[in-house]
Amino acid sequence: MEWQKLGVKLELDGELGFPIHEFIGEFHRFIQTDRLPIMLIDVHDYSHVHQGPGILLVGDEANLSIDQTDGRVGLHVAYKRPLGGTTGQKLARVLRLAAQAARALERSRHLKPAPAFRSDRFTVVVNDRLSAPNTEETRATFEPELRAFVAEAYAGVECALEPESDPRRLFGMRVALSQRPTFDELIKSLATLQ
Amino acid sequence: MVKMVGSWKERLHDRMPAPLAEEIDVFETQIEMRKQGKLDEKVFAETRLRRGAYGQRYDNGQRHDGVRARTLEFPSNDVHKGPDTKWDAPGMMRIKIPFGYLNAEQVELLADISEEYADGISHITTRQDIQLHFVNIEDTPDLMRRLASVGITTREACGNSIRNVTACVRAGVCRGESFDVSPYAHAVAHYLLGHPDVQDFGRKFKIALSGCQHEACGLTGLHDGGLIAKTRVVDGQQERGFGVYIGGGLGAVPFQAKLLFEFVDEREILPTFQAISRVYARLGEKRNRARARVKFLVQKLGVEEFRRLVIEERESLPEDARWTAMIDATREWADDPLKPGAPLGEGNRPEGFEAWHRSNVYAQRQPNYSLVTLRVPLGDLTATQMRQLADLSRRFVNGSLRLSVEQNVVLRWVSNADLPALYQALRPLGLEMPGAGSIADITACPGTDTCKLGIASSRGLARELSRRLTAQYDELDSVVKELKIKISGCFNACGQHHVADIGFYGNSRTVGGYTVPHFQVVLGGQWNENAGAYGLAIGAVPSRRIPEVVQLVAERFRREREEGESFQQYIRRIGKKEVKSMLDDLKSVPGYQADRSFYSDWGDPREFSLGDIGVGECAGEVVSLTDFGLADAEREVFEAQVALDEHQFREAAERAYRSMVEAARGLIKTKNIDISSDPEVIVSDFRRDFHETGLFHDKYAGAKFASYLFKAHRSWAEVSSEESAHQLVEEAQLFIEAAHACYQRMQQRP
Repeated sequence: MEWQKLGVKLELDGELGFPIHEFIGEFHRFIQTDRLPIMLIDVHDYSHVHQGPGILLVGDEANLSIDQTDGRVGLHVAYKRPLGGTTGQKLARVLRLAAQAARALERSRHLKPAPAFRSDRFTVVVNDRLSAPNTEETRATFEPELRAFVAEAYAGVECALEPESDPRRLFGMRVALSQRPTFDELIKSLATLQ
Repeated sequence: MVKMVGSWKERLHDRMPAPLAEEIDVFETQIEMRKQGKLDEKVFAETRLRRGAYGQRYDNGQRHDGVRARTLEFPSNDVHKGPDTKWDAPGMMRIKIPFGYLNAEQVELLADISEEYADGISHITTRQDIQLHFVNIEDTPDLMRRLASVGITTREACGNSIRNVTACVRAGVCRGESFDVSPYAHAVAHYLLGHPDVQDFGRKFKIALSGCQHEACGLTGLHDGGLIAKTRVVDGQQERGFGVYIGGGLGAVPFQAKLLFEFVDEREILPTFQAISRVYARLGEKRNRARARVKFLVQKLGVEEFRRLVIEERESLPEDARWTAMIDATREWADDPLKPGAPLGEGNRPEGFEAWHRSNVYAQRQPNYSLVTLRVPLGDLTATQMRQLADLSRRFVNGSLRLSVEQNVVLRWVSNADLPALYQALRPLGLEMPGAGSIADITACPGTDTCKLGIASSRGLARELSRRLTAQYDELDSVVKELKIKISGCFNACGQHHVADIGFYGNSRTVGGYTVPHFQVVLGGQWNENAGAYGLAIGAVPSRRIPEVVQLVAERFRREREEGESFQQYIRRIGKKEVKSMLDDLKSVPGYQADRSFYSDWGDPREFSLGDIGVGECAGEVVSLTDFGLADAEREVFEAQVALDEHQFREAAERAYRSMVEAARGLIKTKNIDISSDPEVIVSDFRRDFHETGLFHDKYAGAKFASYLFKAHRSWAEVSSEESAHQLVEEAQLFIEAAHACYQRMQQRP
């Protein structure tokens, strides 16, 4: 199956220790300093929206946001442009971008206390109802590919998957792992898979 | 094994109205042609605008990141979707929602497409549209197909045509209306949609309907065309009709609409607006866009002469059966409650319910029913909220809702007994906030967030003011609570600041060599009486000090108002000089080193700059009917080539012939905009006006290219081989080239 428009949301570890709009300045610095390996365009403030995209960093290939959907804060990376390669290679690229952004945010000297994101708790989303309606059939097709990717990227760590249950929502699977690598380790591992 | 998922086009084939499906296919072809450089970028720009695909900030590929100006290196940087507009740059999709009416299925679909093609947000505009931002132009055909499958079109949402037709959200349940204007808004919107007489405007034309004269309702005073419902009794029979208004508008030069006709019978409103459209298309300014809105034409001619021309035009219109059929259909309009109305009762009320009930609930004229306004901050809704709203509309009302010009959502026909349960159900959505329509419920256009013309951050300021005023809301005096704040990012007034009690529009001032964001303060506009009066511009204040302006003005009003005095009356009583002096202390800007916050805008830490302002597309491109005709011809011959490549030579021949007819028809439109679509008539008129006059003839080839049309007209159906189809396609291309050359010669003539 040719999956495109893949996304990953890394869960925040604990609570944010500062107002969400503090990310606005940080994302502008991402643009100014070319912090990520994709072209970044602008920052958009959706902090007024109830459980919305929070602060959005718009890119050409992908958007990033400090997403608040369902009241769960996390770093969401949503690819827009088609990716080449196998499903595993695509997932590696998306997750790697999320990990790079998470690492940069965790290391920012402007965000205090430093936010922490979970490398072992994330949701993978397919933002395309044509190829990936939120059905059992999609799950049955996607899950083995996701499991194979996780097994490679996380080197045999135990993995629990939970699908998004509301059929009107985008198809997605929450991934919970038994070990939590650092983002440096994860980025290094994913680089070999892209 | 690769699973075949097909396409939205295939999947929705049976669910789209055929003409709409075909229009979208045509647009998809135009996208492909533009990518290949086979369609002029100016023509494509106006084409996409008329499909609702609008430009967005930074789409010229330039952005100041706060440190330096940078070029955005989009993948297809040498391809443009309009003058100076990069192909890959994210754009905005405006979706027309006539009179703001949506059913639950449409709401769910909007939620889906906001996630898949945009940033997950559906934005409600001040004209009851939905806008999606950060949309790629190549996604727009599928986006449109999915909308078409639930009965929504984006056609003419932008560009020089009839924009979304708006109407009062209380229509049908209002205690003071003459009658329900909803079905009339539907009729006007659908009659004029794509109508040939609205295709040759110099600028956009906005229409609003209102059920009464005295409340805000449809804001007809600020529209190009307005209709206010009226009844009269003739021979003991009540007749429905409308007062018709013309030439209102905001922007840099605001005009109040003028009464064009005191009473137009309901069955006459469609031909009346058709006649108005013809007069505007014929006599409106085309070259100078700044003077091209109908308000300038009415000013130039005088309303009496404009009226005379409309009456004259109306008399010459060919009869159209839809004039009465569409109005007769209004009688079938049904907007019924889901369940019988019941009183609120005395039981336990949830915490916060009373305040919400006071500000957000309007008693309908139908006993035991209420209209409920859901306050939507900055008009932004997530996909999750949209789906839950669809659920609530099915649970509490008749599976529909309306979008308001104050960027809120309205549920009508809520049984009063259900109000506590509805309030509880709104809480998880974050839509239970009290203060709908109050000073804390601020309207703002997109401004510098996404608009190419934005000067200052209207949304940033609105967010900040709303945050502060919501926190103080319970303590505010009731007369202050009722004030309205509206904010525009520039003088174009999409935030409708002219009709707010307290309005602002973005501008800037240079201080010590730095550019400082400011807002012009506009006080005393009138929301009621259908936007009956515009406010006074008082002076520009630094953006950072605007919260102090609001606090000061509101406090002075609370303290100094006389018994029963409105804010408008108060501002006029104390006079502009006094109001100006009130703000004098707030106009100063500290030095750059003393307080740098003045040198950046709300919600944007970058040092303020005007470098990101682009060329707006509000005005669209003035593209003539002939330009469009020739572009259609080129698309048709492009399709002919595709058919040829696929060895479909019969189809190729037919398309080649049709492309010539289209090109000829485009030329004829320079002389007769009512030219029939019948090929016999077109070829005959072309022969008479372009061939026999020699107008079409090439300096060297003479009548050769014209003869291609005549030959194809006689014998295209006899094409029986790929070779002869190929020849016909070649001749069609040459004919279209000759048509372009002919049109250029005509334009060069004195």
